[in-house]
Amino acid sequence: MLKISKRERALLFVLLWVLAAFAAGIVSYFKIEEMTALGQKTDMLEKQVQKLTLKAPNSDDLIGEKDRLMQSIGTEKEKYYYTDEIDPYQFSIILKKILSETGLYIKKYQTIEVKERTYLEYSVSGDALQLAAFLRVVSDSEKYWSIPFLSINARKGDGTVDAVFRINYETIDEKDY
Amino acid sequence: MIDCAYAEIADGSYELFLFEKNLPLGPSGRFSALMMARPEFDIKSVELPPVSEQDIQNLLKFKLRSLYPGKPDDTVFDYTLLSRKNKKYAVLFITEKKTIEAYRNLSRGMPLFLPFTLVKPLIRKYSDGSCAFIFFHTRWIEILMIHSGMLAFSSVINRDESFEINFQKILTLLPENSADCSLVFICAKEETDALNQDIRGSLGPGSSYSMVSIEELVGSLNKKSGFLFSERHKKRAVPHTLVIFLFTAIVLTLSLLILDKDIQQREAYFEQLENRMRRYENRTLSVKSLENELKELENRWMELRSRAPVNIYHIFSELSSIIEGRAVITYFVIEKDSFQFEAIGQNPLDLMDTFKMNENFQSIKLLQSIPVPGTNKERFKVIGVVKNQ
Repeated sequence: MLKISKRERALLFVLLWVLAAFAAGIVSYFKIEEMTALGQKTDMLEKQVQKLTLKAPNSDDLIGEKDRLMQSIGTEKEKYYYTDEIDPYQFSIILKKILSETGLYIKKYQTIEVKERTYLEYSVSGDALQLAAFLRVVSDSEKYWSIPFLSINARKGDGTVDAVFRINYETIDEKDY
Repeated sequence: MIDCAYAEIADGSYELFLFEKNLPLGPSGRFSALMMARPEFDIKSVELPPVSEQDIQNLLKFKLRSLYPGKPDDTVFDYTLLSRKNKKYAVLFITEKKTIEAYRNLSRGMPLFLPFTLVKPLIRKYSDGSCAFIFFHTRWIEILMIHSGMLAFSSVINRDESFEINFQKILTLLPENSADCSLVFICAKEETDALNQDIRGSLGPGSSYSMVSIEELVGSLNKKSGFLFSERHKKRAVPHTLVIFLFTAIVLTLSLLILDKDIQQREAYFEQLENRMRRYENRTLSVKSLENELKELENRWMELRSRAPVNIYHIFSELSSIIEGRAVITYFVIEKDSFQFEAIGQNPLDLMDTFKMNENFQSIKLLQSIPVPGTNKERFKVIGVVKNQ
């Protein structure tokens, strides 16, 4: 068996010490470096999370707003005719009925094409209140009816008016909405 | 039970005997422990100051110079500890180096002991008073004087064939007040009866003493008995440097483990943060898409609203609320949202102010105003634009 002297044993101990301390030092260095890097990353992430927490919008409000808008759009859409729902002739029948119900006299009516749209142009006469009643029915109708042109002449001064108006119905394409 | 042997010196050489029946032991004879010859040893008792067990050896080594006359380099010693009432004593067994080397050769690696090793377990019984253990061996007698559980002294005398002479020698060694002292005679089993008779004859009838056989004491020896001069005994303590090294290594390892644990905890926290961050990002994305959806819906809503036609009846109502009682409209025309009307009434400039305050109209202009002859009225023309709300 190999015999070692006291001096050699002491040297061996010192060597072991140095090796152990060196190994521990290296491991500690890497661990501390890892910890520092992790600490920096954590700090950064904490700040980001804090920012996001402060900025994060309330999605419940947005969902409520979306529901409200969709409901409004739905209600608004109902006021339009779909493309194939009505044609000028059917519309003309409805108008004639309303005009006769309000007591206005139809002097003439015709169809006019303006920028690829077909309008019905009526020339009517009657009492001013009857005309007002007709306009009220048009304005209060369930669907949008537009009168892009209206002229009223009340120069006779006897309470009667002559009026010329162009009228049409508003349509939407179901695919677009 | 251990088969023990003892050594005797005859003509300058050692002879070994088994305790059992005092049979001589041949070269191939086997035994488990060897009792050394007491005359070759000096036994001293030393009171110890409060020092650590590791320092006792050095302290005794230092004190040995004043206790033993031999050359320090040629002297070896071993010790056993006795303690009583916070006081510690070391019983030193001192001899020459060559003697121990001879015994080590004789013992063939088996443990060594002295009569004190056998007597030590009995000392506790006499811890309060004084006691003399008188160990009768074949060629010598050892007197161990115990006082209050501590070894007061140990002496050895050559054994004479006559008990009377031996007894007289023993008496001279015992203290003067030995009448209060308990006497314990230790001898081989085979001579117990004869020795008992001699003792009784010498001490007188009614005297108090006790007898113990050597075989009985040898029989109670075990591995925990304090054998002497063994390498194992000396190496029992872990080297100081090794302890420091191990301690430091443990501390370093623990520190690294704690560091590692800390890193693991930090990693777990970081992972939690990452998950939270991911949740926030997903939430932000969904909110963003919801916002885009809302924008789109708002645009669609605005587009639908912008396509809504002007409410003619509402325009007339507003118009009549402005000019009611002030003028009469004779002509009115509206195309898309631009309108013009002609009316007869008083002070059209006042009407313009009222128009400006109305939210349904804008860009109102008074185009023309002609007084109507014979009246205080004017015929005037107004143009403007309807706000589509």
